[in-house]
Formats: sequence, C-alpha cells, structure tokens
Amino acid sequence: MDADVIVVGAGLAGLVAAHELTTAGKKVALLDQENAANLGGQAWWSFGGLFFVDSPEQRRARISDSVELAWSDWRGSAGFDRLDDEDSWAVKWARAYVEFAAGEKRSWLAGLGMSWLPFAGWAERGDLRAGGHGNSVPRFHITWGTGTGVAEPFIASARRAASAGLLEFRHRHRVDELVVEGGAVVGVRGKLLKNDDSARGVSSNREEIDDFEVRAQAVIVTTGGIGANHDLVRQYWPERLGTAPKSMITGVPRYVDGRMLGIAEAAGARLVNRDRMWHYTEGIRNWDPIWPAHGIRILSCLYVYKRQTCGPRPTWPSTTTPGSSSPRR
Amino acid sequence: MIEKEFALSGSEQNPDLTAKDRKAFLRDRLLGKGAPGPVEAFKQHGADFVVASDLDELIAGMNKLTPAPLLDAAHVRAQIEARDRQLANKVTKDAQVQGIYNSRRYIGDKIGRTSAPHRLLDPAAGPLIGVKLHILTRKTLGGIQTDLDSRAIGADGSVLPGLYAAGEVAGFGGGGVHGYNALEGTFLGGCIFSGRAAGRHAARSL
Repeated sequence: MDADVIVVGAGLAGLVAAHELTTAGKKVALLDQENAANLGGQAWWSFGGLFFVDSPEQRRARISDSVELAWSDWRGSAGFDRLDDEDSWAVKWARAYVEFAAGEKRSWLAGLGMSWLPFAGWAERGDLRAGGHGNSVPRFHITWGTGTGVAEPFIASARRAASAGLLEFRHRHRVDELVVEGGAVVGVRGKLLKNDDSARGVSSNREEIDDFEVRAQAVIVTTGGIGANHDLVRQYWPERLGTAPKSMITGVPRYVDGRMLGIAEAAGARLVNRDRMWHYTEGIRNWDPIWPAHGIRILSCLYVYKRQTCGPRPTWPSTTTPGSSSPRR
Repeated sequence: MIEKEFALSGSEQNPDLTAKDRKAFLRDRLLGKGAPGPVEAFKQHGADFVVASDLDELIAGMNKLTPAPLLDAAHVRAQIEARDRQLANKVTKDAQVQGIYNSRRYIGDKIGRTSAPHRLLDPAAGPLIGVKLHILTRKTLGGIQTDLDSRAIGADGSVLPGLYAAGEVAGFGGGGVHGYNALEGTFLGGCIFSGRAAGRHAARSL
C-alpha cells in the first residue's frame, strides 16, 4: 500500500479532499500530470466568486435572501428533466448545495482565512421570468485574492501535510488507467512525464519517461472537465444550441483535457449529462496569451442585434449565459 | 462606461483583487478616472477591440474584424438611436435600459458597476468601443455520477467500490448539480463541497 488514498488532480476539489483526509490523519498520494507550479488548477485562474445565500454582505445592502428563494432560482436555472435517471443524484446535490451556501459554507471558508469584497456581485440576472433562469438577487461574493485566495488555503494545507509526512506530491504523473480488482478500484497506472519547468498555465511537454502504478484503499478523481478539449466539446455539443461555432477560444489551460472521464468510464463509472456545458458568449482573445487560444471573459454594456428578429424573448450575455448562446438569427 | 462597467474575469486580469490590495481597489475602481490598467491594455492591444470617435468609423472598423462584413451601419445606428431616445424619461420600454435602472437600485452596482444612464451617441461620453466576441469554452456541467458522499456510481446504478469523484469531473457534484444552467459563483463552491464530501467519507470509512 503506497497511501491510504490516491487523489488524482491537484486542483481545488482534489486539494480540498486531501485537506480533509490529512486533517483526519490519513496518508494521501496527490497525483497530477502538471508540475508544482500548477497547484490549484483552474480555480487559481478564476475570479474567485462564491455563491452565498443570506450573507452579511447581502444583508448590509438590504438584500433579503433565503434558502427558498435560492432554491427556486436554482431549480429555475437547472431545469432538471431527467429526475429518474441522470439527474437523480444531481437534484439531491443541488438541494444540499443551496443549504450549504446558506449555512456553513461562508463560516467554514472564513475559518480557513478567506474574506470577501464588501458588496456581492450580481451574475446571471435572469431571463425576465420570476421562475426562470437567473439570480433574483446579487449572490456572487468575490474573494479577496480572487481564485488564488480560494485555492491558497488548501495549497498551504497540502504543503503542511507534505512536511508532516501525510501527503506526497507526485507531479508529472499522468494517469492512464484505474486499476480494478474484484469489482473495486484499488489504484492507478500511468506514465511519468518528463520534468517541465514551465510557468503556471503554460502548456507542458508530454514526453513519457517511465511507467508507474500506485495502490491505495480508495481513489478520488478530481481532474476537471473538457474545457480545453475542443474535440470533446464538439462531440458532445447539444443540438439545442445549434451547431458548434467554427471557431472558439479557450478559457482554461490545455491540461483541462477531459481524459479522466473516459478512463473512469472504462473502469465502470457512469457518466451522465455529457450534453450539458457552460461556455461563455462574451469571450475575447487575450492579447498576451498564456495557453493556446487563450480567451478572457468580459462583462459589459450594450448588445445590439445583427438582424432585428430574435427569439420569443430577448437574451443577453451576463443576464442569461445559456440564452445568449442559443441559435441567433 | 468602459471605466466602470467593462470587467475582465479571472485572477490575472484583476491584479488589485488578486493581491488583496484594498487601497488600489478603492483608488482605481471606485474613485479613479479612466479604465483599470488591464482593461486599458486590452483596449490598446486587444485584437478584438475597435475604438472610434463616431459610429460609422466604428462599424467600418468592426466589419474589418470579420471575414465578410456583418454589420449594416444604418441598422445599428437605428437601434442605438432608438435606445438613446428611450433615455428621455425615467420609464422605458427598452428592457436593456430597464436593466440599468434595476441594477442601480442595488447599492453595490450603483457604486461600483453600473454607469449612470446616458446616451451612447453623446459625444461627451465618447469614444465608442466595439468588441468582437467569441464563444469561450469553459465548463463541463455533466460528468461522473456520484452519491452525496461523492462515491462514484457504476453502470448498474450502485456505488462503484473504491472510487470517488469530485469537482468538475463529477459535474461539480452528483454528475450535474447545475442541470442545464448555472447561477455563477457555484463552481468553486461545488469543487469545495464535493471535494470535502469525498475526503470526509473516505477518511471516515478507511
């Protein structure tokens, strides 16, 4: 046994899982195909906005928010329509998450050292219907330090656990296979990639220098989505959004390749809702790119229709991201 | 408008917030004149930006950014003039202008986010800025189905022993906690909530 638990993916979810495990005294092997500079993954690059319900920031601005209002907004946005099947666990997660956001989320994170701007931002302002998509009130609480301020406490925790002998960083370990024995996942196999000193977010080499196998009592996969893999984005692009655009730009580093989804499926995991994605309509090319086709999301101003016929109701970016990416004539 | 309303998302485009520099935030965003540094850099260097002193020049510049011209200057002018005409009263039928009034009823937006309503073609509010937008790929809302302890579900619908999934690979929890659409601010929290559930359950059961 190499560790109690293997965590694959050193982004935010993996770091939080490792934090919980090492805090409980368990030994963790933290694997990632990228180098140490990329700890924190996509979260490090983010705006650091956190959805809180009935927060002190909201109350100070005289915003009345509640679990009931947030749950109504969540359901109106989610539109869960596969409740007996692909949405069966998703809807339970959604309810638990709204309660978490109205409950201990803020105090737990504040206890880890996070703090927030004095006023909540108002993202996804809605599709003009009370029961439709969007936030009825501002709920986007930007963390001081943006995404780095959210990732940093958990990066620090991992470093402390490593010093204490409870966590082993295994950078440049690209997992290719989950080891299944007797119907249970017992480890991972893959390739050790050649060392690479690239800065955070910069595409690293994929030169394989050795094989590896690591075993543990459990494997936690936290490897992110398919955001930088346009082939997969196109493959799963849903018909309801029309055809995928000829040209797209990319909001995340190249390592967000979606490889582990197929690898988990090959080991017996069930993949659901692959046709649901969240891409932004208001992307601009970064004049100083870090990763290939690096795009930045903007939030702005007036949107003008190219031709005067729009759908049953008007839709704009920043008020309704999905509506604005629907087929437009 | 660009000084107050034009925001770039992400840690590297918001150095004041990322550095937790509260003084710089106050100075540059709330009290300052001119666009924040990273926005100004995009305005000057960004390949998708057109800055012009009048609308015809702006449309001509925007049409140069696409393989074939997409914008008809007269049509765009008619829409903007119609929108500007709506600002003569405090009530309006234009939903985007209604959105401005609604936004400014929230103190956070009034102070830091939404400019006072004004005519776009008012020369005092110039120059005009056009931005070419692209679809920006970002997040995956589906993924590995998991129970509330972040344990992976197998093909037969029962727990797959030994495997957990959390964060975006698990659709930020359960294989799609957002359904079709997200409320934003929910992605980092989804990583935290589902990662915490996985770590806690694994720690408890080993």
